[in-house]
Amino acid sequence: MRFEGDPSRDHVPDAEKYADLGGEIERVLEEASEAGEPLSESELADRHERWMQGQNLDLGERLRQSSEAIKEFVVNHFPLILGASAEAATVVKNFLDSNLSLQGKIAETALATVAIGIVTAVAEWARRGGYPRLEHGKWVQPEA
Amino acid sequence: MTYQDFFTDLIRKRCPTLAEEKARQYAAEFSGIVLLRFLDQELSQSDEALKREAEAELEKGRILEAYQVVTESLGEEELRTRLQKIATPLLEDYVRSILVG
Repeated sequence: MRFEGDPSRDHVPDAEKYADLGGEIERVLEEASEAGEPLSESELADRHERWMQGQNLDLGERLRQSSEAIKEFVVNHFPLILGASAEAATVVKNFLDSNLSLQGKIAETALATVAIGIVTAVAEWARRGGYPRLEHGKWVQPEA
Repeated sequence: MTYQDFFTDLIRKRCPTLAEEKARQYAAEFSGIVLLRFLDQELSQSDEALKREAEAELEKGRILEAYQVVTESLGEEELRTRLQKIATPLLEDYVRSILVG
């Protein structure tokens, strides 16, 4: 996630109250001051970027992975979902538990979109006389 | 001295040629990471709606607004106390691995 915050303002409300981060501040400040040669701007930029990435909190990346996970899930479990078995319910529940808590509202929106797609597809398949089966990794349409 | 002033000064001590605006941008990004970590680690399932609202603001790059959402919900004192538990080790790590290391 790239934070494009406005550098002209403080991003923490009532920031004066957050300025005291504890006794470690003086020590780390001292270490930084005594740390030899100044960093170049490019080196600092590289280190900053690596650190940001290393936090593993890239929301955009997490959401992208969520979309991929949803796609994989639907592709792999369509027949199971349509079968509406107890096993299917467990698979769906486990998937939702592991993804919704992490991905939040956007994943919910994506899942809602998927759900609408499934309902639409079922209606269409009913009109055609049945839904496709997954055979040897390929969807096979019912015979008309 | 504000939180962002402090962070900006810290960065510029190690890179004096860096423009203040750029240093403040790094400080803003650090603040965003602190809040993201806070949302992940400190909020319980009962705070899920708050977490989503704050994450939605962060996703749009609206860091101040994300902080305000959390502040309005938890109150300044509680947020300050809980935020420091997250911010202090992160700041130490940032200083050690980027400014000192």
